[in-house]
Amino acid sequence: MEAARHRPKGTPILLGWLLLGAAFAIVGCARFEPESAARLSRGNMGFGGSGAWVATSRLTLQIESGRAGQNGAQAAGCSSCR
Amino acid sequence: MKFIPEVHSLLRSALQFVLGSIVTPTVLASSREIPAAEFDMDSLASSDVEVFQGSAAAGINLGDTWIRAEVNGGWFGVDYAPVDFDLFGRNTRIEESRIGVGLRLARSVGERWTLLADASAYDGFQSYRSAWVSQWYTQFFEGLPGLEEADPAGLSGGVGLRHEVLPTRLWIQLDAGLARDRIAPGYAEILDENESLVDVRPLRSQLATQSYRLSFEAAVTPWLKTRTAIRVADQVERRPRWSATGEANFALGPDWVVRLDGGYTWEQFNGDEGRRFEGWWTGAGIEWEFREGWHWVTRARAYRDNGEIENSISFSTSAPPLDAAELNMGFRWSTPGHTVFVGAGPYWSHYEPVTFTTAFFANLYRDRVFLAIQASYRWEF
Repeated sequence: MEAARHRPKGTPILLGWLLLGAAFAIVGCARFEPESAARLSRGNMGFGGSGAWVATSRLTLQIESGRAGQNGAQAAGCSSCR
Repeated sequence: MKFIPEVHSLLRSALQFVLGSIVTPTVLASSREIPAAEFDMDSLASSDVEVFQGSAAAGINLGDTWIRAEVNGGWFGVDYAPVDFDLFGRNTRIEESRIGVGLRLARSVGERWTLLADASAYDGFQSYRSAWVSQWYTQFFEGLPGLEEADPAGLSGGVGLRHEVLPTRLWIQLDAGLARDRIAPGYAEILDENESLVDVRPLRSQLATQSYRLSFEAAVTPWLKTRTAIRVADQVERRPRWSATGEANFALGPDWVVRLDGGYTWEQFNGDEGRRFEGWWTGAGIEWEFREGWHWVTRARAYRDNGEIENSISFSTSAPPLDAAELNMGFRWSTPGHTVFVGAGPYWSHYEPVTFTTAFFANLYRDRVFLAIQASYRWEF
């Protein structure tokens, strides 16, 4: 009973995301020209990764407990975790 | 029926745009896993709180495997101030440091599949808030035999699989992780027959967290990349916490890049289906290459939540609802092989007033204005 109550109920959401991905795969299959690929591969067109390309303070994660990207106890929003 | 191809093209473009704003692209995946050394520094300082962290990392290729090792450390100093009615509290200076190591691996398996793995460990408080709460316990229960010295630490590990669904266009990645944390515990009071406090008993001091993440990264058009992800973290004694994030980067001509991002987190309250923790954030940035290799970078970000979840009805360490905002401006200098970024800006945190259950932490959860500074260097070799 306890286990059932704690079981993640996000299966429909995950399926939705998978369907979205599949839909996108159908939408566009063409490869970009080298010039376009080069533009898209520039560092400031990337996500996350190196701090040299991310202009935001990572220390604010200590305060904003709801933001994704944390690990361990903080990731699960444990408010009593010290 | 000549119009049909045009209609089809229009629909396709519209669908690409809509999906592109939902689905995410990462960097062209291969460009992320290249030999490089990185040095990062962040600091956050207000009138009574200073936080600093830095890291050094290097990634190399060993055969078909990319390996990245990282050493990181942090330090904070806090002017702890108890509330006026805290009879056991006294002003003190808290200074703590943290050290950590991490290892990441990526190995191509087949033409479009990449296996990922990571492991990390840390020793020390992960946030100044944790140390503040621990200090309160230390002062409030000082002298009682059951009080323990806080010694937080943790280990985590994970595996992942990335698939390049469409070459140079679409990636899907699935990650799973497990973390174990040793935390500074809270305490339960032990009373004698006269209702006098005689000792305290530590509450849970070990936590295990499982997390799963599914992300999509797509190069939607020659000028638009997106990344979307959904993540769930499941921790003992808590309901799963879900997070959905989306990012979009627009290359507006050769010199301009606009970056948008947002996210939403939610967690059902344990034992009350009608209540849940919710957090929202959004950000926008613009980058202008005003001279070859020189970028002016501006970014603004806002965050809001409705207060951390806590089951206790009489005492709680949880943060009240929070509004926060950050403005960051800086320069990036980039030349083949080398990238340097230096940025700074204000960061505001505004809490709603504490309640009866959190009254002891009114000085921890008070409004602050921080100065945030970042500096990074990346050398690709």
